Amino acid sequence: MNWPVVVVFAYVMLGLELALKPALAIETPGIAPSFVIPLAAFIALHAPAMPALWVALALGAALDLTNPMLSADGRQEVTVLGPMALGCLGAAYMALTIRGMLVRRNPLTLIMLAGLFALVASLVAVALLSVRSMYDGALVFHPVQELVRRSASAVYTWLVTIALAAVLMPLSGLFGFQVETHGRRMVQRTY
Amino acid sequence: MMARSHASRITSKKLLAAAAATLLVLALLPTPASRWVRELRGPVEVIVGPIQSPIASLIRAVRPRPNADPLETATVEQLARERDEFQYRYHRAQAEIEQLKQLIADLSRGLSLNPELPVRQVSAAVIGGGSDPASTLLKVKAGRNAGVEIQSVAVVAGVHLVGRVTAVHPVHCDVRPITDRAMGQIQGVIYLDDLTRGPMCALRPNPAERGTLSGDVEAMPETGVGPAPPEIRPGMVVRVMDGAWPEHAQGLIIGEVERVERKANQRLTVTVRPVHRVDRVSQVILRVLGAPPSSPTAAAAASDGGEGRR
Repeated sequence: MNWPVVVVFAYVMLGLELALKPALAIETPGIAPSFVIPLAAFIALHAPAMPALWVALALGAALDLTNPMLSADGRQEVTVLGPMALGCLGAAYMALTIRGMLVRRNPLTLIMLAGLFALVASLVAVALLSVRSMYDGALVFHPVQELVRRSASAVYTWLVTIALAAVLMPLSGLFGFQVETHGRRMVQRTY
Repeated sequence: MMARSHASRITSKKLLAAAAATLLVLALLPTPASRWVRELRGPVEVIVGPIQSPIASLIRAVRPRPNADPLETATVEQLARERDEFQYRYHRAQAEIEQLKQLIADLSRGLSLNPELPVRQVSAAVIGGGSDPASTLLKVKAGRNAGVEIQSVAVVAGVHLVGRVTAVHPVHCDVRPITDRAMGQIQGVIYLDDLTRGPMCALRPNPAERGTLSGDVEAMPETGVGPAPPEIRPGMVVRVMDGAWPEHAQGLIIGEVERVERKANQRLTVTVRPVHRVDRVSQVILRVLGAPPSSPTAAAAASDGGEGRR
């Protein structure tokens, strides 16, 4: 995998995430699409397993650090590092597990996978934050409400991926993904 | 070669597991213990800033401005109204504070004038004039209930004589200003400077010039008219010195000499103008001789500054 290209794309997507998210957000329920998750899904779909997992972890950690939560008194921001990182890691693992059954070159695959990726990542994050909110008084977290909101955001992310797929799929050559081959090599019999 | 790659793969897996375990611990750590995590936000934001900022600027430039939400506009208008109202209240409170400070200064000045006399001072608002349009009678919001009595003296700014109470009603009284045509003669002494008494003068309301008093300069109180009488100049202060007025009114300022004229019989005539327009005051202090009234209503009335003519 071509790491510099991955870093550049991750950087751009994180910038889009932070800059575009407020503009595209449906404000009242706080539903907003993600730009980082489609990239993580794209990498998880094509890259070797370990790099894909590391990239997912790193992108999730970046999401955690750039999206602080509001404290219970509403006056401070609480930065929780981990939920989205582990969520993305779990979602990447899910993608690695099922990608053998998918047609990777089809843009629709990325579109569907990104939505699923976002959903799984949200599930893990909500689960972790729900556990933490049980004993952490500084955190206000309504699991059901948050799950609904994040699920709706996953659907929104799925819509955004339709546009992103049009950019990422043609540029997949730049990422230097190697096709893994596990089967026996075909050799021409000489006899 | 293949063995090294396999080893590196195992190391990477272990590292990933360790990172995931660390993140799991961090995710579940209570806020007080993981407060330091927010320090990591700064570097991340600094790194992302150069790409985030131009995109955000571009979006701001491209994105059409949303139409003003009528609800939001209403809220803004409401807030602006509230701000104006509070500003008005603030300035009003400031003005009241200034007035009260002034009142305290006036009362102190009035008390220091005759410290040996048991003079009680009642601050009261002027609530109107008399029924006779030709008269400049003042209706003052303090009456019998406040212990006001006939012959009480009304002053402004502590020591400037306004007039004398001519009628007392339960809750108000009538004050006849010194410049009122019906007011009789008032004897005053011209002060040559702050401490030196000059000649006496018998002042009457000046029919030719409303709001002033005039009269002939009389003999000096102690030395008489000597060969070199002191020069009377405009600006000199004239104070009450009249046996017909209560003792606590003696020394109050009638006004300042505005003009000095010499009549055909060589006598000097002075025109005195009160420093404050006595027919236009909105608040006066009534100087009453004696102890304060004991009834609560009287006390309430005594302290009632009220809304004056403003």
